[in-house]
Amino acid sequence: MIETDASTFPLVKKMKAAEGTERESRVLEELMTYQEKVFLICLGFSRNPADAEDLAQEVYLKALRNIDSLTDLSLIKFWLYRVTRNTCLDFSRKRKLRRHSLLEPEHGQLDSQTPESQIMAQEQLRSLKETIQQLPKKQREVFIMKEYGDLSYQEIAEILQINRGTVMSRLNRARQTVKNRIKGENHEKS
Amino acid sequence: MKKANSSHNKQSFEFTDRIRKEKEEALLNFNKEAFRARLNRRIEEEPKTPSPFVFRFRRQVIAVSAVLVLVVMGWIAFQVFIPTPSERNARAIEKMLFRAFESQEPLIARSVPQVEPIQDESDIHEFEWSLKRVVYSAQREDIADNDVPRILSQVLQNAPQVREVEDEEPSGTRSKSEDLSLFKKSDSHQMRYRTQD
Repeated sequence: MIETDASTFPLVKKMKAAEGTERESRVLEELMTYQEKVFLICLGFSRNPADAEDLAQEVYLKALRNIDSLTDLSLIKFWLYRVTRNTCLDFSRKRKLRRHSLLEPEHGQLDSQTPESQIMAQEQLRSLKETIQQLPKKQREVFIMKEYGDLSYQEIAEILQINRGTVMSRLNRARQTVKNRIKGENHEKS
Repeated sequence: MKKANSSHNKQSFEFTDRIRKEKEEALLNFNKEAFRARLNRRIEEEPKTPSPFVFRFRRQVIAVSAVLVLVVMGWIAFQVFIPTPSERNARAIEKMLFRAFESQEPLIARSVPQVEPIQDESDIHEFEWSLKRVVYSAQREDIADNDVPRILSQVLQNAPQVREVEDEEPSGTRSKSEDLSLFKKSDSHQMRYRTQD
Protein backbone atom coordinates (compact mmCIF):
# COMPACT_ATOMS: atom_id res chain seq x y z
CA MET A 1 0.00 0.00 0.00
CA ILE A 2 1.34 3.41 -0.97
CA GLU A 3 1.41 5.98 1.78
CA THR A 4 -0.13 9.30 0.90
CA ASP A 5 -0.30 12.54 2.69
CA ALA A 6 -3.19 14.50 1.35
CA SER A 7 -2.20 17.62 3.26
CA THR A 8 0.80 18.11 0.96
CA PHE A 9 -1.59 19.10 -1.86
CA PRO A 10 -2.39 22.80 -1.91
CA LEU A 11 -5.56 22.06 -3.81
CA VAL A 12 -6.73 19.94 -0.94
CA LYS A 13 -5.76 22.64 1.54
CA LYS A 14 -7.72 25.13 -0.49
CA MET A 15 -10.68 22.79 -0.59
CA LYS A 16 -10.48 22.25 3.13
CA ALA A 17 -10.30 25.95 3.81
CA ALA A 18 -13.08 26.77 1.43
CA GLU A 19 -15.53 24.07 2.22
CA GLY A 20 -14.38 22.71 5.51
CA THR A 21 -15.13 19.16 4.54
CA GLU A 22 -13.08 16.03 4.85
CA ARG A 23 -14.53 14.55 1.74
CA GLU A 24 -11.92 15.93 -0.68
CA SER A 25 -8.94 14.84 1.38
CA ARG A 26 -10.46 11.41 1.72
CA VAL A 27 -10.98 11.29 -2.02
CA LEU A 28 -7.41 12.29 -2.73
CA GLU A 29 -5.98 9.80 -0.28
CA GLU A 30 -8.04 7.14 -1.91
CA LEU A 31 -6.97 8.24 -5.38
CA MET A 32 -3.28 8.11 -4.50
CA THR A 33 -3.51 4.46 -3.47
CA TYR A 34 -3.99 3.57 -7.12
CA GLN A 35 -1.06 5.56 -8.52
CA GLU A 36 1.01 2.50 -9.31
CA LYS A 37 -1.75 0.82 -11.29
CA VAL A 38 -2.57 4.06 -13.04
CA PHE A 39 1.10 4.37 -13.97
CA LEU A 40 1.18 0.83 -15.35
CA ILE A 41 -1.97 1.32 -17.43
CA CYS A 42 -0.43 4.50 -18.78
CA LEU A 43 2.71 2.52 -19.58
CA GLY A 44 0.61 0.19 -21.72
CA PHE A 45 -0.72 3.09 -23.71
CA SER A 46 2.56 4.97 -24.03
CA ARG A 47 5.86 4.00 -25.60
CA ASN A 48 8.15 4.49 -22.59
CA PRO A 49 8.08 4.99 -18.79
CA ALA A 50 8.74 8.73 -19.10
CA ASP A 51 5.65 9.20 -21.25
CA ALA A 52 3.72 6.96 -18.87
CA GLU A 53 4.65 9.15 -15.92
CA ASP A 54 3.56 12.29 -17.78
CA LEU A 55 0.31 10.58 -18.62
CA ALA A 56 -0.25 9.52 -15.03
CA GLN A 57 0.30 13.13 -13.96
CA GLU A 58 -2.31 14.22 -16.47
CA VAL A 59 -4.69 11.59 -15.16
CA TYR A 60 -4.39 12.88 -11.59
CA LEU A 61 -4.72 16.51 -12.59
CA LYS A 62 -7.78 15.70 -14.63
CA ALA A 63 -9.25 13.69 -11.78
CA LEU A 64 -8.65 16.53 -9.30
CA ARG A 65 -10.16 19.09 -11.66
CA ASN A 66 -13.27 16.98 -12.10
CA ILE A 67 -13.54 15.76 -8.55
CA ASP A 68 -17.05 17.21 -8.33
CA SER A 69 -18.31 14.72 -10.85
CA LEU A 70 -17.54 11.90 -8.43
CA THR A 71 -20.81 11.35 -6.63
CA ASP A 72 -20.38 7.91 -5.10
CA LEU A 73 -17.17 7.33 -3.14
CA SER A 74 -17.58 3.59 -3.31
CA LEU A 75 -17.01 3.80 -7.06
CA ILE A 76 -13.83 5.89 -6.81
CA LYS A 77 -11.58 3.14 -8.15
CA PHE A 78 -13.65 2.65 -11.31
CA TRP A 79 -14.02 6.38 -11.71
CA LEU A 80 -10.25 6.87 -11.58
CA TYR A 81 -9.60 4.02 -14.02
CA ARG A 82 -12.20 5.51 -16.34
CA VAL A 83 -10.39 8.86 -16.20
CA THR A 84 -7.14 6.99 -16.87
CA ARG A 85 -8.58 5.17 -19.85
CA ASN A 86 -10.05 8.36 -21.35
CA THR A 87 -6.84 10.33 -20.87
CA CYS A 88 -4.76 7.54 -22.40
CA LEU A 89 -7.07 7.18 -25.38
CA ASP A 90 -6.85 10.94 -25.96
CA PHE A 91 -3.10 10.66 -25.80
CA SER A 92 -3.09 7.74 -28.27
CA ARG A 93 -5.31 9.67 -30.67
CA LYS A 94 -2.99 12.67 -30.58
CA ARG A 95 0.05 10.49 -30.99
CA LYS A 96 -1.50 8.78 -34.00
CA LEU A 97 -1.41 12.14 -35.74
CA ARG A 98 2.35 12.21 -35.33
CA ARG A 99 2.80 8.52 -35.77
CA HIS A 100 6.36 8.71 -37.06
CA SER A 101 7.58 9.55 -33.54
CA LEU A 102 6.59 6.06 -32.42
CA LEU A 103 9.06 4.55 -34.84
CA GLU A 104 11.95 6.69 -33.72
CA PRO A 105 14.57 4.96 -31.53
CA GLU A 106 14.35 5.58 -27.82
CA HIS A 107 17.10 8.05 -26.95
CA GLY A 108 18.64 7.69 -23.55
CA GLN A 109 17.68 4.09 -23.11
CA LEU A 110 20.14 2.56 -25.47
CA ASP A 111 23.76 3.52 -25.69
CA SER A 112 26.77 2.15 -27.49
CA GLN A 113 27.75 0.11 -24.42
CA THR A 114 24.50 -1.89 -24.38
CA PRO A 115 25.07 -5.62 -24.84
CA GLU A 116 23.55 -7.27 -27.88
CA SER A 117 20.97 -9.16 -25.85
CA GLN A 118 19.73 -5.91 -24.38
CA ILE A 119 19.40 -4.39 -27.84
CA MET A 120 17.46 -7.45 -28.90
CA ALA A 121 15.17 -7.11 -25.88
CA GLN A 122 14.58 -3.45 -26.66
CA GLU A 123 13.78 -4.31 -30.25
CA GLN A 124 11.32 -6.98 -29.15
CA LEU A 125 9.70 -4.57 -26.75
CA ARG A 126 9.35 -1.93 -29.43
CA SER A 127 7.79 -4.50 -31.72
CA LEU A 128 5.34 -5.56 -28.97
CA LYS A 129 4.40 -1.92 -28.35
CA GLU A 130 3.73 -1.43 -32.02
CA THR A 131 1.56 -4.54 -32.09
CA ILE A 132 -0.45 -3.30 -29.11
CA GLN A 133 -0.89 0.11 -30.71
CA GLN A 134 -2.17 -1.51 -33.87
CA LEU A 135 -4.91 -3.42 -32.03
CA PRO A 136 -8.46 -2.16 -32.46
CA LYS A 137 -9.33 0.37 -29.76
CA LYS A 138 -11.79 -1.89 -27.92
CA GLN A 139 -9.39 -4.81 -27.82
CA ARG A 140 -6.43 -2.61 -26.97
CA GLU A 141 -8.00 -1.07 -23.88
CA VAL A 142 -9.04 -4.46 -22.51
CA PHE A 143 -5.63 -5.95 -23.25
CA ILE A 144 -3.74 -3.14 -21.52
CA MET A 145 -5.99 -3.11 -18.47
CA LYS A 146 -5.53 -6.83 -18.06
CA GLU A 147 -1.88 -7.28 -18.99
CA TYR A 148 -0.46 -4.02 -17.66
CA GLY A 149 -2.95 -3.01 -14.97
CA ASP A 150 -3.58 -6.58 -13.74
CA LEU A 151 -7.26 -5.75 -13.34
CA SER A 152 -9.80 -8.51 -13.01
CA TYR A 153 -12.39 -9.25 -15.70
CA GLN A 154 -15.06 -7.85 -13.41
CA GLU A 155 -13.17 -4.63 -12.78
CA ILE A 156 -12.61 -4.12 -16.50
CA ALA A 157 -16.28 -4.82 -17.14
CA GLU A 158 -17.24 -2.19 -14.53
CA ILE A 159 -14.86 0.41 -15.95
CA LEU A 160 -15.94 -0.07 -19.55
CA GLN A 161 -19.54 -0.75 -18.57
CA ILE A 162 -19.76 -3.91 -20.62
CA ASN A 163 -20.40 -7.60 -19.86
CA ARG A 164 -17.76 -9.80 -18.35
CA GLY A 165 -18.13 -12.13 -21.32
CA THR A 166 -17.45 -9.29 -23.73
CA VAL A 167 -14.28 -8.46 -21.80
CA MET A 168 -13.14 -12.07 -22.10
CA SER A 169 -13.85 -12.33 -25.80
CA ARG A 170 -12.12 -9.02 -26.57
CA LEU A 171 -9.12 -10.03 -24.51
CA ASN A 172 -8.95 -13.39 -26.22
CA ARG A 173 -8.99 -11.80 -29.66
CA ALA A 174 -6.34 -9.28 -28.64
CA ARG A 175 -4.06 -11.97 -27.25
CA GLN A 176 -4.52 -14.00 -30.38
CA THR A 177 -3.49 -11.08 -32.55
CA VAL A 178 -0.40 -10.39 -30.45
CA LYS A 179 0.60 -14.06 -30.51
CA ASN A 180 0.21 -14.26 -34.27
CA ARG A 181 2.35 -11.18 -34.67
CA ILE A 182 5.11 -12.68 -32.50
CA LYS A 183 4.82 -15.92 -34.41
CA GLY A 184 5.25 -14.02 -37.66
CA GLU A 185 8.34 -12.26 -36.29
CA ASN A 186 9.92 -15.50 -35.15
CA HIS A 187 9.20 -17.04 -38.52
CA GLU A 188 10.88 -14.13 -40.30
CA LYS A 189 13.96 -14.45 -38.09
CA SER A 190 14.31 -18.16 -38.65
CA MET B 1 -1.10 -31.04 -32.49
CA LYS B 2 1.14 -31.18 -29.46
CA LYS B 3 3.78 -29.24 -31.33
CA ALA B 4 1.30 -26.55 -32.34
CA ASN B 5 0.10 -26.22 -28.75
CA SER B 6 3.59 -25.92 -27.39
CA SER B 7 4.43 -23.22 -29.95
CA HIS B 8 1.23 -21.38 -29.03
CA ASN B 9 2.10 -21.46 -25.34
CA LYS B 10 5.62 -20.39 -26.11
CA GLN B 11 4.43 -17.27 -27.93
CA SER B 12 1.94 -16.56 -25.17
CA PHE B 13 4.69 -16.83 -22.60
CA GLU B 14 6.90 -14.67 -24.75
CA PHE B 15 4.63 -11.64 -24.83
CA THR B 16 3.56 -11.92 -21.18
CA ASP B 17 7.22 -12.18 -20.28
CA ARG B 18 8.08 -9.13 -22.33
CA ILE B 19 5.31 -7.16 -20.65
CA ARG B 20 6.33 -8.38 -17.19
CA LYS B 21 9.91 -7.30 -17.76
CA GLU B 22 8.82 -3.92 -19.07
CA LYS B 23 6.61 -3.36 -16.03
CA GLU B 24 9.34 -4.38 -13.60
CA GLU B 25 11.85 -2.02 -15.17
CA ALA B 26 9.37 0.81 -15.28
CA LEU B 27 8.37 0.32 -11.64
CA LEU B 28 12.02 0.28 -10.59
CA ASN B 29 12.44 3.74 -12.02
CA PHE B 30 9.07 4.98 -10.82
CA ASN B 31 9.72 7.17 -7.84
CA LYS B 32 6.47 7.66 -5.97
CA GLU B 33 7.77 10.57 -3.93
CA ALA B 34 9.06 12.36 -6.99
CA PHE B 35 5.77 11.70 -8.71
CA ARG B 36 3.84 13.23 -5.82
CA ALA B 37 6.18 16.21 -5.58
CA ARG B 38 5.83 16.86 -9.30
CA LEU B 39 2.06 16.56 -9.10
CA ASN B 40 2.14 18.98 -6.18
CA ARG B 41 4.09 21.50 -8.24
CA ARG B 42 1.68 21.16 -11.15
CA ILE B 43 -1.28 21.71 -8.88
CA GLU B 44 0.43 24.85 -7.58
CA GLU B 45 0.78 26.04 -11.15
CA GLU B 46 -2.94 25.69 -11.72
CA PRO B 47 -4.75 29.04 -11.93
CA LYS B 48 -4.82 30.58 -8.45
CA THR B 49 -8.18 32.24 -8.75
CA PRO B 50 -10.86 29.71 -8.06
CA SER B 51 -13.32 29.37 -10.87
CA PRO B 52 -16.67 31.00 -10.24
CA PHE B 53 -19.11 28.89 -8.31
CA VAL B 54 -21.33 28.23 -11.32
CA PHE B 55 -18.46 26.86 -13.42
CA ARG B 56 -17.81 24.15 -10.87
CA PHE B 57 -21.00 22.57 -12.11
CA ARG B 58 -20.21 22.78 -15.79
CA ARG B 59 -22.86 20.29 -16.91
CA GLN B 60 -25.60 22.04 -15.03
CA VAL B 61 -24.45 25.42 -16.34
CA ILE B 62 -24.52 24.16 -19.92
CA ALA B 63 -27.95 22.61 -19.44
CA VAL B 64 -29.39 25.74 -17.85
CA SER B 65 -27.86 27.95 -20.56
CA ALA B 66 -29.29 25.72 -23.28
CA VAL B 67 -32.74 25.89 -21.71
CA LEU B 68 -32.51 29.67 -21.41
CA VAL B 69 -31.48 30.03 -25.03
CA LEU B 70 -34.35 27.80 -26.11
CA VAL B 71 -36.82 29.78 -24.04
CA VAL B 72 -35.62 33.08 -25.53
CA MET B 73 -35.74 31.67 -29.06
CA GLY B 74 -39.21 30.28 -28.41
CA TRP B 75 -40.39 33.64 -27.12
CA ILE B 76 -39.01 35.43 -30.20
CA ALA B 77 -40.59 32.85 -32.50
CA PHE B 78 -43.88 33.28 -30.64
CA GLN B 79 -43.71 37.04 -31.10
CA VAL B 80 -42.86 36.77 -34.78
CA PHE B 81 -45.00 33.90 -35.98
CA ILE B 82 -47.99 33.67 -33.66
CA PRO B 83 -50.72 36.19 -34.62
CA THR B 84 -52.26 38.60 -32.12
CA PRO B 85 -55.86 37.94 -30.95
CA SER B 86 -57.21 40.58 -33.34
CA GLU B 87 -55.31 39.02 -36.25
CA ARG B 88 -56.68 35.64 -35.26
CA ASN B 89 -60.22 37.01 -35.20
CA ALA B 90 -59.77 38.64 -38.58
CA ARG B 91 -58.51 35.39 -40.04
CA ALA B 92 -61.39 33.44 -38.52
CA ILE B 93 -63.93 35.88 -39.93
CA GLU B 94 -62.25 35.78 -43.32
CA LYS B 95 -62.38 32.01 -43.26
CA MET B 96 -66.01 31.96 -42.20
CA LEU B 97 -67.02 34.46 -44.90
CA PHE B 98 -65.13 32.51 -47.49
CA ARG B 99 -66.94 29.31 -46.49
CA ALA B 100 -70.27 31.08 -46.40
CA PHE B 101 -69.66 32.55 -49.81
CA GLU B 102 -68.66 29.16 -51.17
CA SER B 103 -71.81 27.54 -49.83
CA GLN B 104 -74.03 30.39 -51.03
CA GLU B 105 -72.45 30.61 -54.46
CA PRO B 106 -74.94 28.29 -56.21
CA LEU B 107 -77.84 30.22 -54.69
CA ILE B 108 -76.36 33.52 -55.79
CA ALA B 109 -75.77 32.15 -59.26
CA ARG B 110 -79.40 31.06 -59.41
CA SER B 111 -80.70 34.38 -58.16
CA VAL B 112 -78.66 36.51 -60.56
CA PRO B 113 -80.59 35.69 -63.75
CA GLN B 114 -83.84 36.85 -62.06
CA VAL B 115 -82.57 40.41 -62.25
CA GLU B 116 -82.68 41.15 -65.88
CA PRO B 117 -80.32 43.78 -67.13
CA ILE B 118 -81.93 47.08 -67.92
CA GLN B 119 -81.72 47.51 -71.59
CA ASP B 120 -84.67 49.65 -72.49
CA GLU B 121 -84.16 53.42 -72.59
CA SER B 122 -87.34 54.00 -70.64
CA ASP B 123 -86.15 51.55 -68.00
CA ILE B 124 -82.90 53.45 -67.69
CA HIS B 125 -84.85 56.65 -67.39
CA GLU B 126 -87.02 55.07 -64.71
CA PHE B 127 -84.03 53.85 -62.81
CA GLU B 128 -82.41 57.26 -63.04
CA TRP B 129 -85.49 58.81 -61.57
CA SER B 130 -85.68 56.36 -58.74
CA LEU B 131 -82.16 57.30 -57.83
CA LYS B 132 -82.96 60.97 -58.10
CA ARG B 133 -85.94 60.47 -55.86
CA VAL B 134 -83.64 59.04 -53.24
CA VAL B 135 -81.33 62.01 -53.50
CA TYR B 136 -84.14 64.52 -53.30
CA SER B 137 -85.77 62.76 -50.37
CA ALA B 138 -82.46 62.70 -48.68
CA GLN B 139 -82.17 66.45 -49.07
CA ARG B 140 -85.68 67.03 -47.84
CA GLU B 141 -85.60 64.67 -44.88
CA ASP B 142 -82.05 65.56 -43.85
CA ILE B 143 -80.76 62.03 -43.87
CA ALA B 144 -77.33 61.33 -42.44
CA ASP B 145 -74.57 60.35 -44.87
CA ASN B 146 -74.31 56.93 -43.27
CA ASP B 147 -77.89 56.10 -44.16
CA VAL B 148 -77.63 57.00 -47.86
CA PRO B 149 -75.85 53.77 -48.96
CA ARG B 150 -78.40 51.72 -47.01
CA ILE B 151 -81.37 53.44 -48.65
CA LEU B 152 -79.71 53.22 -52.04
CA SER B 153 -79.13 49.52 -51.62
CA GLN B 154 -82.79 49.13 -50.72
CA VAL B 155 -83.73 50.98 -53.90
CA LEU B 156 -81.52 48.71 -55.91
CA GLN B 157 -83.02 45.68 -54.25
CA ASN B 158 -86.50 46.97 -55.00
CA ALA B 159 -85.66 47.59 -58.62
CA PRO B 160 -86.66 44.05 -59.77
CA GLN B 161 -89.86 44.37 -57.73
CA VAL B 162 -90.62 47.53 -59.60
CA ARG B 163 -89.94 45.65 -62.80
CA GLU B 164 -92.18 42.81 -61.72
CA VAL B 165 -94.93 45.28 -60.87
CA GLU B 166 -94.33 46.92 -64.20
CA ASP B 167 -94.50 43.54 -65.90
CA GLU B 168 -97.83 42.88 -64.28
CA GLU B 169 -99.19 46.27 -65.30
CA PRO B 170 -98.66 47.61 -68.78
CA SER B 171 -96.01 50.28 -68.80
CA GLY B 172 -97.16 53.85 -68.59
CA THR B 173 -100.38 53.01 -66.73
CA ARG B 174 -98.76 53.95 -63.40
CA SER B 175 -97.90 57.60 -62.81
CA LYS B 176 -94.61 58.93 -61.42
CA SER B 177 -96.33 59.92 -58.21
CA GLU B 178 -97.34 56.30 -57.71
CA ASP B 179 -93.73 55.28 -58.14
CA LEU B 180 -92.66 57.82 -55.56
CA SER B 181 -95.33 56.66 -53.14
CA LEU B 182 -94.08 53.10 -53.63
CA PHE B 183 -90.64 54.22 -52.62
CA LYS B 184 -91.95 56.31 -49.76
CA LYS B 185 -94.05 53.44 -48.53
CA SER B 186 -91.06 51.15 -48.34
CA ASP B 187 -88.74 53.72 -46.91
CA SER B 188 -91.06 55.59 -44.61
CA HIS B 189 -90.66 53.05 -41.87
CA GLN B 190 -86.91 53.60 -41.82
CA MET B 191 -87.32 57.34 -41.85
CA ARG B 192 -89.60 57.18 -38.90
CA TYR B 193 -87.18 54.98 -37.11
CA ARG B 194 -84.41 57.49 -37.62
CA THR B 195 -86.43 60.48 -36.37
CA GLN B 196 -87.31 58.53 -33.26
CA ASP B 197 -83.58 58.14 -32.58
